[in-house]
Amino acid sequence: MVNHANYWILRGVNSFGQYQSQEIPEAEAFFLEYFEGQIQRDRIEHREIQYTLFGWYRNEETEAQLNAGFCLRCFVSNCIYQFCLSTEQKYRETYGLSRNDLFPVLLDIIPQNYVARSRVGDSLISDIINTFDLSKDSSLSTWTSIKVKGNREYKIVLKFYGIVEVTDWLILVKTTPGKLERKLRQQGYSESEIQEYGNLLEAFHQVYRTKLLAIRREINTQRKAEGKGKSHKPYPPPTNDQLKQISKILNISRQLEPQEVLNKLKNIAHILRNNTIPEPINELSENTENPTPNLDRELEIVIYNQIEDILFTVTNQVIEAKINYFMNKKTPKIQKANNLILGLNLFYCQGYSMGEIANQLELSGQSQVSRLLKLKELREDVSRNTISILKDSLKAQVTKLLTEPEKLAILDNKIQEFIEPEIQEVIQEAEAEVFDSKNKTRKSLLARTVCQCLKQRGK
Amino acid sequence: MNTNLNNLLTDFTNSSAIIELQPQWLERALTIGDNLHNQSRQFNLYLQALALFSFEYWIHSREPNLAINLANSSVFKPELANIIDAICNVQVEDFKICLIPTVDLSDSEITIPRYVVDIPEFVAHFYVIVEINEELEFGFIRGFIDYDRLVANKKKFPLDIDWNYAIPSSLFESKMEKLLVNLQCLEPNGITLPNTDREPENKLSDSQTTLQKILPEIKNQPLWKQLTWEQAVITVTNPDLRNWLYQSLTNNNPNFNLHLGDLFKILTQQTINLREWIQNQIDELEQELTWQMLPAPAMLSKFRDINTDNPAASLNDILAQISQVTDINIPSNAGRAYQEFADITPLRLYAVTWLISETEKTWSLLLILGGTPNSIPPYGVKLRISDRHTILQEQELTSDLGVAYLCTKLEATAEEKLLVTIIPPDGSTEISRLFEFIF
Repeated sequence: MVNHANYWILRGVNSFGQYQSQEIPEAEAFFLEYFEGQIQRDRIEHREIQYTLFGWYRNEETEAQLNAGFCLRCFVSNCIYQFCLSTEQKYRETYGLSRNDLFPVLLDIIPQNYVARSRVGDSLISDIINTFDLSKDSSLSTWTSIKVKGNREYKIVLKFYGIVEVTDWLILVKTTPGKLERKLRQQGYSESEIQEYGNLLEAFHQVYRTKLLAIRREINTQRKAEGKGKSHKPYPPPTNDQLKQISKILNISRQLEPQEVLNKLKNIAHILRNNTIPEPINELSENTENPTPNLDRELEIVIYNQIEDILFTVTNQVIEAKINYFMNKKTPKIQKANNLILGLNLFYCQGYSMGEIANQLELSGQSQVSRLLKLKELREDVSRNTISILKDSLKAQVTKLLTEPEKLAILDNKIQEFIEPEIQEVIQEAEAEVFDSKNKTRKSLLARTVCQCLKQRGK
Repeated sequence: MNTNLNNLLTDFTNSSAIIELQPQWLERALTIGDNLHNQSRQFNLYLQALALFSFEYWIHSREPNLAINLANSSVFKPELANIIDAICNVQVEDFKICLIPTVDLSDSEITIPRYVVDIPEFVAHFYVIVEINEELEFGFIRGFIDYDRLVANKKKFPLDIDWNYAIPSSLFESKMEKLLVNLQCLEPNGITLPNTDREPENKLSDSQTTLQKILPEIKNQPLWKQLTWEQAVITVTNPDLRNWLYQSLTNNNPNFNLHLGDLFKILTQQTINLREWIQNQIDELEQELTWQMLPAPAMLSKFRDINTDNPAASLNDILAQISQVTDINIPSNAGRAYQEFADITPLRLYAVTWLISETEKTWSLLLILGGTPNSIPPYGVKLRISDRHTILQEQELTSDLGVAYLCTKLEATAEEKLLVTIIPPDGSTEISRLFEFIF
């Protein structure tokens, strides 16, 4: 049985990016009114339903337009939902990717009160609905799959989980002749094969890489003329002409047909791709080579004492630098600068949760707050600049530390922990906190100093 | 800026080492790439430029107080970019940085050219991996390693036939904020870089003959295919040679290979310091080279004797003729000398030199090449003058010119050396003299 609830159950996320689903009563009523009869008689396919819905949706004159729009959005959101589930199934075990990583990327935010009547957005769902071509044979669910797979954010998620779609041509472009030679030798290929493949790779580089930028320009110019956006395939397959050129360069007794050249190139990519001979990693053992050196305890105390004196100046400088960064842009980002000050105040001085800060600053969600405040970076910047000042005041004592990168790194860590211990936990707590929790006192040295700085700014 | 995308990226990696490639960078990188004479390396240079801009942006946005200097980076030196697949000589504060561009995040090994690890001119305190993802249009400052650690470990990993080290990415530090701490707080002597070779000229002389033959054959092929590593080091570390190599890509003049021979002489031959002629400090060495100094004109009149060979007077006569047809003005304190060569055809070369401007460090050299007195002019003799970059002039003394000698006047600056080559008409060996003017 076909599940028609897909046409009135909307799947999306809340402002924290968490999965949510919602029934749209108007959509349900509308859908059943027009289609129930036919469904009961088992006489209607999805394609017909969609055709009808699009008819209403794309015809601005009918009253049914809005409801048809709801139905379509719900349906597409369900397709995406299913896609996320199957992607999770495919990759979870090996790469750790879960559906929850994909939902916030692909689905829309369902605002607390769903009363949106005319949803004009640039979300993926809107794009799918707006670009669906009824005259073609593909179904809406197929079209959704195509669009999702080509979606940039989706690809980035995969990328950062290590699920990378690397085309043959990217492999061939980036592989050096030396690497190919090494891999072939490792895998026991004969001298003549190594020579042949080496020549082929070099010929490929000469023809393909040389023209790559020009070809991309051509492709994008053409796409522009066709009203499409820029190509997201920076490494297209070589053209027939290019294959012929490659064959010519090889200058062997029998000229290769373009198809032969193509196959051989793909073969090389295959060899490089499937190479699973591990590098001698057991020789690495970085951490056991050098036992982690430690700081002199007395020196630590001296440093901590000094820090309390200079922390205010440093923190002020760092905050000032961040403000200036926004203000010195070509178009000054005054709103961002203000939000930063407000946000820091809310977080450090008034102990707000991330969610509540998002509310106050009218940002769409926690991730925007994180991005604005950049708390980890703030701590790093303060620590680093503190060391920079300590360099001058404690020169003799810290010189030894400052000439060894390992020791310097330890000093940096210690200072960071000193001014704001356990920052990761602090942030996670703030993110997990229930919406309107306030007045959680932030006690760290950095927190107190930030407040002092902000107070002074306020004057 | 696509805020949705940026949120996503920041969330996932919790780092601002991800930089969206700005359209003006793409344009600029394209231009830089397009300007490279070697078509097969334009794409590499394009990626290098994007990596450079991404890195600069990252440093500037994380710590604006760090002084960055890109002016000497290899991206802007086509004769280096033509050879090295990395961006060297990026300066941040007192540290040298080398950027390694990559295109694939999933690479478990990083390709580092031997040039930037084993040649002192091109090493760096820190090596930074910059990934350029063109499909998704971002740059990612992925990791770094310092010189000491790299060198300590390099022997464990393969050195490919094309002179690249394959270093596992796991050896690199991925927390980029540690690089910032180093750049801002580390003492530069915390990482000691090797000194450059103080006497490259010796190696140059030894390899001269071989290099002279091979370098013109290279064109746009990679060096590893034609040279040994030692030969490559000599070529790449000598600015004039690598410049010559780069120019050879587009210079189709058949004489250009001839210039290479001259260039080697300029690099290895002993020079004559013309300044000493003016100061009348001719040292013994030059006496051995058989330059005969000539007195200034005022001293001459007492010694004039028509029947004997008087080079000073002959020179004066020639100079008088010259001043009638040109506006060359020779100061009275000009240094004058002559030298004779008499293998088969007797030849005499007069050289007159003077300072043009002490402040601008410019000098002049006037050469007159003819036969010895009472002999027929050495028709067929050729005179060729070269500097580091090119052959400046070539002249041949032919009977239809109606003169008895070749004459040329050159001007040069302090660093320049002028190679004068005389090709006798009888096929005997070329004679070359190398002049400079040391301020």
